Amino acid sequence: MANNSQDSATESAPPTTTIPQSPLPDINIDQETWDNWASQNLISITSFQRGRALLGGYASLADWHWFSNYGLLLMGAGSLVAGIFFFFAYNWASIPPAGKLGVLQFLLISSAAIAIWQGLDKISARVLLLVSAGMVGAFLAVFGQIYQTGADAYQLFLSWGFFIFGWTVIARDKLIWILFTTVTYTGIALYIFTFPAIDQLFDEISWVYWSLILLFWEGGRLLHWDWLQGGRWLQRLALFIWFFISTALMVDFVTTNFSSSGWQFLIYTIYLLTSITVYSQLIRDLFGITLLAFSLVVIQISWFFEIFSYDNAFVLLCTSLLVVGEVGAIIVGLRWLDQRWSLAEEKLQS
Amino acid sequence: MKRSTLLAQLQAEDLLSEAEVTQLQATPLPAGSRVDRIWYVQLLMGTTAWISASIFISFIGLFASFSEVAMTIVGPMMIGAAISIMRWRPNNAFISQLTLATVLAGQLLFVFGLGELIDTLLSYSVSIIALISIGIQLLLLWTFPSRFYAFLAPILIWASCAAIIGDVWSTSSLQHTTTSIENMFIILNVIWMVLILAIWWFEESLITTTKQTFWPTAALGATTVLTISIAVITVIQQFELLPFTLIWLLSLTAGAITLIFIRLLLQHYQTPPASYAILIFPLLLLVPAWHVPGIILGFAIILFGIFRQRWLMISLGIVSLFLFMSFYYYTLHWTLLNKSILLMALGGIMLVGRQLLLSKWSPPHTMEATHD
Repeated sequence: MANNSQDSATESAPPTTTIPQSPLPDINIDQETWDNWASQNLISITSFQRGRALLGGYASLADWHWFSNYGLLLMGAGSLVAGIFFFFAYNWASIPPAGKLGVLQFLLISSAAIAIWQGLDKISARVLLLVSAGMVGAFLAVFGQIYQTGADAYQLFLSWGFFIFGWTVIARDKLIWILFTTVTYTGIALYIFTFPAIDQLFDEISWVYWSLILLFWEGGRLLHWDWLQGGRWLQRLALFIWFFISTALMVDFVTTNFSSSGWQFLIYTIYLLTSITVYSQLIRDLFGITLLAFSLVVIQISWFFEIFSYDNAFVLLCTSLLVVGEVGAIIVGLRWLDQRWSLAEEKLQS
Repeated sequence: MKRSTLLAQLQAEDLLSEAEVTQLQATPLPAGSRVDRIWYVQLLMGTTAWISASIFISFIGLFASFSEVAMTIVGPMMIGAAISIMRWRPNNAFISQLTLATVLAGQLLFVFGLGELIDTLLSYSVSIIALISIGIQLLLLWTFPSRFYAFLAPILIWASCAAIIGDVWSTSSLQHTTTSIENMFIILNVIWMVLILAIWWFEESLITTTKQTFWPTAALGATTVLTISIAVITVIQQFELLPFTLIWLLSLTAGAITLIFIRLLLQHYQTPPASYAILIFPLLLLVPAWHVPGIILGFAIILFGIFRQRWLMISLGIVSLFLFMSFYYYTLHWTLLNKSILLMALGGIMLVGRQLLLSKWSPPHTMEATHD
C-alpha cells in the first residue's frame, strides 16, 4: 500500500474544536470499532462514511498511483522475463551446449557483477546476488544434463550449497542464507534417503542441522552482527522448523517406544528447560515460548491417547477439558511474562 | 488515530453534535491484553481450540451417532450453546474458534440427522434441507458475532443454492428438457455477482440499516466462492467435459459489473469527464477473454480491494487474475514461440505504460476523495 500512512482525506486542516474530556483512556480507534458504533446507530451514515475516510477506509489518489505504478512494474517485468524464458525454452533443443551454458554463465556473472558494482548495501544488489546464486544451481543442472555426469541429485544440491557458500558469507543477507540453508538441507535429506542404512535417522539429523542453524542465527544476533539485526523473522523461521521437528520426534517417542528407552525423554526435558531459559531470560521472545507451549500441548494429547483409549467417551471429554485448561494457563503465563518484561524495561529506562 | 482526534475532526466538520461526541467519548472500547492480540498467540489459541473442539465433538458424536433423532436434537443444542458462549465473550480468540467448530459440528449433525429422517418421506428432501441450511446461515450471520463465520456463511449459502439446483434438476422433469444444469449454475453465478456488487457498493448503508458489521467479511466470502465456482466452470468448459453454453453471460455480467464499478469510482473521485475514456479498457479486455470470465472478475476484485484498502480482497483478486490469465494462456492454441512473443510484447507495453503514467501523473498528496 502506498506509504502515505494518512489517507488523503486525513490531510485536511487539523481540528480546531475542543471536545469534552473522556472518562476513558484516549486510545487508538480502528475501523472495526467505528463500524461497530455505526451498527449501534451511535453515528449518522454521513459521519460514518467520513470517519471511515479519516481512518483510511478508502484509497486516496496517491494510493491508486502507487498501485498503478508497482502493479504495472511487476506485471510488465514479470511478463517480459517469462516471455524471455519461454523464448529460450522453445529454442532450447536447437541451442548448442556451449550456447546453453554460455547463456546461464552470462546471467550468473552479469548479475553478480552488477550487484558488486551497485554495492551490496542496496537491496536491489542483494536481490541480484540471490539471482546469481540461483543461477549456479541452474548451471549445475544443465551441465549434468548435457554431459550426463551420472551424479546423484544430492550431489547437485550439495555442490550448489558448496559453491554459493562464498556468496552467502559475503552478501550477509537473510534471503541468501535461506537459499543456502534450503539447498544444503535438501542435499542432506536426499543423501540420507539415498542410503537406506541411515534413513531411519532422518529426523534426528534434521534436528541437529536446524539446531546448528538456529544457534548460529541467534548467536549472531546476540553478538550484534548487523545483518542479523532488525526483525526476528529469520530466527523465528528456524525456530519454527526446529520446534516442529522436536515435537514430531517427541510424539513419535511417546506413541511408539515410550517404555523401551528414556534417553529421548531426557534430551527433550533438557531442551525444554534450556529453551524456556533462553527465550524468557536471554532473548525474551514470546514467539519461542508460545511454540514451546503448543509443542507441550500436542505431546500431552498424544501421550494421553497412547496410555488411555481414544474411543472411550470419558477420556475424550477429559482430554478436551484438559486442553481448555492448558490453554488458559498458557495465556495467563504469557501475560505474566509480558508484564514482567515490560516492568523490567521500564525500570531499565528509569 | 486517537479517538479524541477523530471526534474533534468530525465535530469541526459539523458532522457530530456535542451530545454525540460526549456519548462516543464515554463508549468503552473492546478490552483485552496486548498479548491476546499478537498473531501467533491468536494462532495458538485458534489451533488448540480446534483440537479441543474436535475431541469434544468426537465425545458428542459417540453418544449421538446411534440415532437420527438424537443427531437432529443435539445439533441445534450445540449451535445454541455456541451462540450463547460467543455472545458472552466475543473478543476471545480461543472461544471464537471453539464455538466456530461447535457451530459447524452442530450443523453437520443436524443436517445428517434430518436428512436421514426425511429422505424416504419427501421427494425434494435435499432442497428442503438446503433451504433450512440457508435459514441457519442467515440466523447465524445475525446472532453469532464471529468474523470467521461471516466469511464461511456466504460459502455455505452458495453451496446450499447449488444443492437446490442439483436436486430440482435431477428430481423434476427439467432434465428431459433443453434446460441444462450447467446453465442453471451460470445463472446462479450471475445473480451472485450482482448481489456482490450491491454489497460492495452499499456496505455502509447495509451496516447502519441492518445494525450488523459482518458485511465486509461476508463480501469477501461471497467473492471467494464466486471465484472458485467460476474457476471450476472455466476448467470444465475448456476441457469440454460439460457444455456451459451461457458462459458468455458470465463474462458479460462481469464486464458490466466492472464498468459500473469503475463508473461509480470515477464519480466518487469527481474526476473530469475526459477520464471516462478509461472505461474502454475493460471492454477491450472483454473481447479476447470472453470465454474466461475470471479475468475480468479478477480485475474488478482488485479494483474494489484497492478502493476499500483491503489486502485480503486485493490478494484474492491478484491470485484469481493470475490463475485465470495463466489458464487463458495455457488454452491458447499457439506455439510456445508465439506465446513468448506475446508475453514479451505485453510486458513491454505495460512498462511503457508505466513510464507514461509516471511522466503524466505525479503522485497526488493533497487531493481529497469524497464519498457520495
